[in-house]
Amino acid sequence: MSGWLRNWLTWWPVAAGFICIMTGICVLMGWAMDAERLKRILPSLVSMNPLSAVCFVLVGAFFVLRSFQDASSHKQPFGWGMRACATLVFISGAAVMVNYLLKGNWGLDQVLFSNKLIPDNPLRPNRMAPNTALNFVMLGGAFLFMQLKSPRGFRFGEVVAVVVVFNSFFALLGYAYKVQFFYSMGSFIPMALHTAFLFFISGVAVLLMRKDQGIMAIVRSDSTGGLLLRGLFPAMVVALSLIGWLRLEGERLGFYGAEVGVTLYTIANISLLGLLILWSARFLYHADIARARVEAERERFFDLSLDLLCVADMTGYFRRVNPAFTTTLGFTAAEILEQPIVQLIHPDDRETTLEAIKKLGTGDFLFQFENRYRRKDGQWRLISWKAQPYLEEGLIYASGRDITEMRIGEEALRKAHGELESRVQERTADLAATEAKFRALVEQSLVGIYIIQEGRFVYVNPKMTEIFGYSTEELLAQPANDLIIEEDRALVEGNIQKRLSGEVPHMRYSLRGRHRNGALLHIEVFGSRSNFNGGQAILGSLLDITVQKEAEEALRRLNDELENRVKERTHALESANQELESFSYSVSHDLRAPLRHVHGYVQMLGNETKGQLSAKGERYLKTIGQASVEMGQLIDDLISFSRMGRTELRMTSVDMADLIKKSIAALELESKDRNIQWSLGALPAIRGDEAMLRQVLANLLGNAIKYTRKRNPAIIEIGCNGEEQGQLVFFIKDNGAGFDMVYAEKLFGVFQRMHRAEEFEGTGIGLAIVRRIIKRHGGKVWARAAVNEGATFYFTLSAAPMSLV
Amino acid sequence: MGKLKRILLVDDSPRDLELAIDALEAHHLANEIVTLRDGVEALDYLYCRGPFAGRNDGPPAVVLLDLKMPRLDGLEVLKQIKSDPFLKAIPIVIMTSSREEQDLVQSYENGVNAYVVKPVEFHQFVDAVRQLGTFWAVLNETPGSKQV
Repeated sequence: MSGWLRNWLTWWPVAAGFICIMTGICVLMGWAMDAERLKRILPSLVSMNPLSAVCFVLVGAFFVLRSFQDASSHKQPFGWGMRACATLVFISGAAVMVNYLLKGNWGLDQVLFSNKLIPDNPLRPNRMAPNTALNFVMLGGAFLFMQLKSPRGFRFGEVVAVVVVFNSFFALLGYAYKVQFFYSMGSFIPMALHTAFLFFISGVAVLLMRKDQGIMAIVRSDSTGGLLLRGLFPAMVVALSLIGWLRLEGERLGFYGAEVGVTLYTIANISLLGLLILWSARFLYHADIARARVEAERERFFDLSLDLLCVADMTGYFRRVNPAFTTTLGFTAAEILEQPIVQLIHPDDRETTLEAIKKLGTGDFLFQFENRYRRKDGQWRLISWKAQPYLEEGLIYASGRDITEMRIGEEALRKAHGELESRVQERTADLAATEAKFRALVEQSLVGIYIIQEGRFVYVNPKMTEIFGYSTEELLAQPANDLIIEEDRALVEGNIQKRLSGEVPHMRYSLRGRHRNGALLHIEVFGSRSNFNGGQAILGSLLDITVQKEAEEALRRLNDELENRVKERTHALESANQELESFSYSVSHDLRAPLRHVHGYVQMLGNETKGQLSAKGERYLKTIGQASVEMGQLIDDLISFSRMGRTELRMTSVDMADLIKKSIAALELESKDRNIQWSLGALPAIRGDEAMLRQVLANLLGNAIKYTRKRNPAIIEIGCNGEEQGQLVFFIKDNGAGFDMVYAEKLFGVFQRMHRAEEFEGTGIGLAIVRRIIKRHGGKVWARAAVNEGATFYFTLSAAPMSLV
Repeated sequence: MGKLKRILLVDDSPRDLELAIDALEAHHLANEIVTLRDGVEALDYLYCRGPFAGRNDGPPAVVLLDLKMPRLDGLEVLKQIKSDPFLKAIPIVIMTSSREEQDLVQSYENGVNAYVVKPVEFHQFVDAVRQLGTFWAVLNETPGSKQV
């Protein structure tokens, strides 16, 4: 229904009220001032009775007062006024009616302006028409009925109002068709035109007063019925009235007789009604199709639904169930419908279910109600319900959901949750114990342990306070960098970044810190990237190595000093060596020259004085010569001895057997006229300076040859006695003069001799050289001997490395 | 071969010179013996300069060179001679008191023709000189001698 129409209908009663009041007052004023127009509209028409005018004022007042009714609560602040108006109107109409019925002439309708009533109409005095009185009775009655709360009273009022409307329409139509009968209603006093009009609008107003109920509810509704009523009814009224009027006018003007008029009238009516019926049939046809489609759609959803949908009645039976219902419970629809609902329900749930149905019976809505239904196979299904009762139909619409599995799942979940909870508690307790253990370890640690986050300590152990001299609070309050000396801060920051960026997982390095008292601390840290309280952190430990560092430093200084001293000493030694070198060079060169000169000039003197000197003189010259030669030998040996101590060793692998053979060969001059039996054992290779060892062998073998001079044969045995303290022991044994072991210690001293020069010549340096060379090879030399029983000389040397053999 | 070439004897010790000359004469070597007292004189002689400017009697048959001498020692003289393309053909014999190995090694490294340690015993010395003299002065002809 369109908005303008709705507004118009809403305001109709108030507008009708005002029109009634205005018209009533106008009519009364017309009576008072003899204004004919106000009383009767046209001179040929009857005027409105003053009592009628008063009644219309009251009717209008009723409508206006009613408009103050509160729309939402239906409270009527002027209910008493309305009731008074309605009662007065009813009584006035009733009084006039009774007067007519009893054929009396009480003149209630003639009280006002009584003097003017009789002359008003030359035919009859002005009175309230009987049908007018009836209308007032009905209108007043309708007002009173409408005020009653019950639907029956309302319906009755509505019917009465319809009668009023028809009655007045009758009069109006009579005026239109100029048929006095209609508006005089079997009486000689006709209903005034404006009276009829006011009754019409008032009657409609009564119908519109309660717009949400009764006929008006249908008229105003968007239903097909409403649409038809709104469209067809006015059209029919207007069209039929018009057709009737045309027929009458045609007859009056003599176009056709009554028979033709009726025929025409009938045909026109049939056509019109036929058209209207056709139109409404078409309209209903389409409306039905549309509704059928909507219903089919709803049915499909009903069938498709996974939830259990049902309609039940108040007597405890299902009326209708959907397929989900039957599949869930395993019964057929018929089986479900034929047994009382309670029989399907778990005995323990029956009481609560009955209570719930009772609650629904009072019109209450039901939600999340749960009960168990029996499946055909005896299993129980838990259903959660939502239900809405429709009392006027006596039906309950319900939607249920099978929550059995969900509930089982929930139970399992709850159980699992409970188990998890207890396990978490156990684990928490374990963790707490572990935490306590590790905390104790950390707190009692001999190294500083810390956690750094965003440049600050977030944890330090007691050792940290000991190392740096600050309290825990002070350490946590200052940037960690403040503890580090400025030169090392960049290093530390860089190292922290390296770990936070993931370049390396952990690092160990040294840095220098500052104790609270200003002392420099040497610290070694080991830190790894970690997480702490949801952020990146460095977790590390540190060791105060100041004492070690200082000791190390002292040691290094000491080492440096020592190094320097060694260098100085070496330098001194080198220069001493240098001096010694040039000394021995000078000795070798400068001492021998004069000796040579002595010898040379002695010889030349001998040549010059050949035959002139006495035998004694000859001997002197010879002795001088010999002495100078001996001196030369001494100098050579001394120089050789001193060189042995200074010359660098050139270590190689030396084949001893080969070397000995060569040495024996080199002594050929000394041994050529001798009977010597050489005996060579197995001789392994050794590691040493070949030139020097050749000197050793030359001296030892030379000695052996020299001291066996008086033996025939001389026996010289050379061999290797195996190992002693990781070194090879060589020996050279002879059967010569030997010596007394008492002097064995003196044997290797410089210029130490065992024999007189006349007996065995020599300078006493040879064995000293031997000892010096063997010592320089890391070996030792010794001798075993007895006087006249030969001597054995032993010396040790390192074996040659296997690869060099 | 006409006149015998000279033997150049370079030694700072007059005694050694005398002993050497005695030894050489004892064996009746016909070569003229020129004695020089140090390395500078030896080089002046060989290059015909200073006191020996205008000398035109050619290079010596052999140079007997002592090592330890004032001003310029024998090793320096040896290096100079052996590095000069015109002189290096002259045989050089080092005669010295030194038994030091380093002297010997250095001398041979610098191209010495012979190295003789002067023995203390005179007759040994005489033997050595005689052998040297006969070998180098009489029997040997140096490539340079043909050019003169």
